[in-house]
Amino acid sequence: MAGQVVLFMLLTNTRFGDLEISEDQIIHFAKGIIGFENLERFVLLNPTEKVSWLQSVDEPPLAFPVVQAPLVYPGYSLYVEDELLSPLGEIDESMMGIYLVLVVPRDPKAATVNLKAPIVISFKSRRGMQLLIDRPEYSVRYRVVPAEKGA
Amino acid sequence: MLVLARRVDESVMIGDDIEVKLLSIDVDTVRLGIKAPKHVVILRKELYSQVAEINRSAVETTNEDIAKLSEIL
Repeated sequence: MAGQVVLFMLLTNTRFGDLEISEDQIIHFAKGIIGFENLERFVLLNPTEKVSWLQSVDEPPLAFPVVQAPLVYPGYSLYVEDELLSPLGEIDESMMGIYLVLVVPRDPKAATVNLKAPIVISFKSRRGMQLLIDRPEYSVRYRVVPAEKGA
Repeated sequence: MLVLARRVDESVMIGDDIEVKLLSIDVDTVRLGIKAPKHVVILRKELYSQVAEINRSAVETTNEDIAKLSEIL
């Protein structure tokens, strides 16, 4: 078997304590996240669970709670020209993830996601970006728990 | 910041590929028409600040509050 070195890293001081990650889990955000442009390396924790975490590798105390878009907004669409996704490099539609940033106040029933700024990840190229979609029907604070459920 | 005065229907070129044209003036609002290559991002500036603010509050969510949300999602 040809030798292959995979680097493991220990992130200390995360909100989950010490976290061991491997280099091949890292997703590169060339432009970071809006407001956090200096954070270029992330790993996605729990990618298939209800709530996932975009965990910063560069600043371990920082992690963004995210949720897969179709889970809270069936039919969610990016509505953008392919060229706007060019920072992601190679894209394979079957290997893409669209996640929405979650804001959860004290009352979980009032939790919202930002439909205007999805986190788009190409698992093929291992690159990600936060895309801005300024459509009037997409709210920056879209409630994820339907009113009836919370009542 | 470069400051230029334009009349209606006059344009500004930014680089080789971007054109900003003043389409109309109405009391306190102007309409701008922007031509740019498809890969160039063009957005209202206040949207950036708003999203940065939301990202900042997201990062402050506690693990407990997320756990409570997972139960009802």
